Amino acid sequence: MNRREAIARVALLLGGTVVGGEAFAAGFQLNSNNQASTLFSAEDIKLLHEIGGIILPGLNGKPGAKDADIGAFMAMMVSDCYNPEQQKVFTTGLQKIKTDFKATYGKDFPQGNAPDQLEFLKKLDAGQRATPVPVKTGRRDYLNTDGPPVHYFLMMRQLTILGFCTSEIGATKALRYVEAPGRYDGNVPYKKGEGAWAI
Amino acid sequence: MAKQTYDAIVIGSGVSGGWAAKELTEKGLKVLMLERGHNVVHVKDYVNATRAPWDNKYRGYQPQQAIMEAAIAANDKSVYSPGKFTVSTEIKEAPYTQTKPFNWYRSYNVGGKSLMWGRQSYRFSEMDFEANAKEGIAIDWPIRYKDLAPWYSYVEKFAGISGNRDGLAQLPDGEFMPPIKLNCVEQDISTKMTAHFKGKRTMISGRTANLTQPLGDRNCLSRSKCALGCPYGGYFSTQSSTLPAAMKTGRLTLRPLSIVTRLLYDRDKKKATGVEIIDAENNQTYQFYSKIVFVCASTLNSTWVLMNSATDVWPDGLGSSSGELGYNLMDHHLGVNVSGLAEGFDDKYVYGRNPSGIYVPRFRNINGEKSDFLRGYGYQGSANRGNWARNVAEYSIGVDLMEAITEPGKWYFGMGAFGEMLPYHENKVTLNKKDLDKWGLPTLSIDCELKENEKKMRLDMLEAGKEILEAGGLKNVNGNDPGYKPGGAIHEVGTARMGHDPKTSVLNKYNQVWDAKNVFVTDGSCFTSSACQNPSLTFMAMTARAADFAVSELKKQNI
Repeated sequence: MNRREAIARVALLLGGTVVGGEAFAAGFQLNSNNQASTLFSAEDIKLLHEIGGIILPGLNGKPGAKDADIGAFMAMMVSDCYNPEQQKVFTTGLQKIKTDFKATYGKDFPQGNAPDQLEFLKKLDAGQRATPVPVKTGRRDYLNTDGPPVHYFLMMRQLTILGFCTSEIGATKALRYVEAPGRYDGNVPYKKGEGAWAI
Repeated sequence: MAKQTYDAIVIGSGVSGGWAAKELTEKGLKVLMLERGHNVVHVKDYVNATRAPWDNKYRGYQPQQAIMEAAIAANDKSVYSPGKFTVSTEIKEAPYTQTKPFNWYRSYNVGGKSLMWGRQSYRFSEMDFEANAKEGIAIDWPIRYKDLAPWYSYVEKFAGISGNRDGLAQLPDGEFMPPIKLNCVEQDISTKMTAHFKGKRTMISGRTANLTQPLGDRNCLSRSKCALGCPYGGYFSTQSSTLPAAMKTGRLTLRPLSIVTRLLYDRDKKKATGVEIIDAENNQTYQFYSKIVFVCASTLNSTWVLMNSATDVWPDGLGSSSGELGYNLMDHHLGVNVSGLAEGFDDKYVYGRNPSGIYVPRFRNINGEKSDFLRGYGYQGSANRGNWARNVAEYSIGVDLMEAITEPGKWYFGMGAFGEMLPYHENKVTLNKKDLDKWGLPTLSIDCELKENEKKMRLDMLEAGKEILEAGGLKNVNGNDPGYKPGGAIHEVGTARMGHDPKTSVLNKYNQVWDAKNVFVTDGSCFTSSACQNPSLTFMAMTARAADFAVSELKKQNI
């Protein structure tokens, strides 16, 4: 160091944060002794799963977020990594989706038409874009897991992208992943469609 | 307990301690290496190193504190964060006082910071060793480039440093493996910038302690997970390199969880007789004896050990007779960064992950170029195409978003500056005898700040950086200075400086404490000035040189 930190700061300047290979691969493997979340019901998790699937649908025979069990992933991340204030914004937002969708379309979200669901979530996305996001200097995180809560739909969008792109099926089937490349070549031809590296 | 006697004791197991252990054991000495933190076993303890992203439940993010603490309590080593092999409680038990804001990064475990360093490896040059004397700053280094050059070569060959021979006076070439070549965007910027600045400013491949050819059973596989520990020994660390060599001799004893409290001193012989420790597991005090002691505990901890070795002969600590012990603390000041967009390379991509990047060697106050500050700075950075984690705000959700994140993004280039900090007497550490740690030991008070020279340099870093990127053909060039706290570069040096004169320095030109000739301090604390290059390679060369001298003096019975 502190080259990594310096580069992370540079990444911030690039109009968005970049998850570096090292942070990406970092491990917090706490599979044991985790209590099931009390924040979400089975119905909530199913709804998150539907939402994630609309944010990142399968495309051209390639997997989408649903193939990465995205509802359970979102629920777990919110339960374990978000602070209580953020959790509240997220769960309140999820309930609001339920009631607002039903009020608008007269059906529960899972029973809605696909075009209606997409239109509804696109409006939510437009809403989150209109909400300014406080950016902490030097932060390198993709998710906003500290600081004040952001718009609940931004959280859902971020969690879906993170969960899908770092899942095995997402990283290896929708993206490209090589665990041990063996060499670095910074001048390789690229044609659109070949796909981005997962890291 | 029987008196435990060794030929040499090495305090610390990081970059410097590892080299001291290797050199001294290979020269036939029976050596005890003491480390205050826990053991980290090569490969076995790199718990996150071979995990795929999806093997990590939180995908690199931290669970809430309570979940984390439960895991720590259950001794679940998998909660070690990526760049840290140290359980956070060990740092909590080692407080310090910041008289002014100071980030003191430590790595209390076998291997020290060698496990998590940035691996950039640059020689100091003749102009770095001469600068203090020429400018009348602080005191003169007692050595010159020629004194260290053969030792740089020696350590480079063993550690495995990749780099290009660039023929630059301010950045001498070394014994390099082939370089990691610049990527297409970096090469383009480099070519344009060299032309624009007529060779006075250049962008070269980073010289890094990552292997580009197999070295023994070590090899780098371009995984870029260095900070998690490398099971392939792809980069130099104590565990991958110096420790196995020292162990192979059969003469090394490694004792983790050994908190050195003081050097034992014989006032009649004016020599150290050994070291006292507290065992971190059983809280017992032990003494070990030796003919020589290498103090390699990292800059501030080495100085702490000397200070805490006060006797009635040296009430302010061993090595304090000049009054310079603890003074002249330096770091590299960083944080100023610049970036821009590279257009025209959409048909190019990368294979593999670069563990290094580019380096822009110092160009200020050399080659006849003057500025309104002394010394200079370099930049480190890289060009990359965005991946899924880039900001894809331009696409809402659905098919467009999926298409966007599964294609590589635009090429961006970014770099950050690392600047030289002058050795100011008043930037110092002192022993705080009021605030004790959990072992009842005094703690350090750190009092360090940037001064006018560094502040002027930071303004120049920003402007010159943008100028370089514009000359390199980048678009949307911008930059900022988010600020810097001393310590932030983790390049702290000074506080037990070398010199010609015992009246103004703590160590002589062979890293011997003037007041105790069998005590050698070879880590960053010995620096008389900081240069702007990353310091670790110099720690290695300095340690190997001092070890060679120490053994030859031992044989001559001079110490």
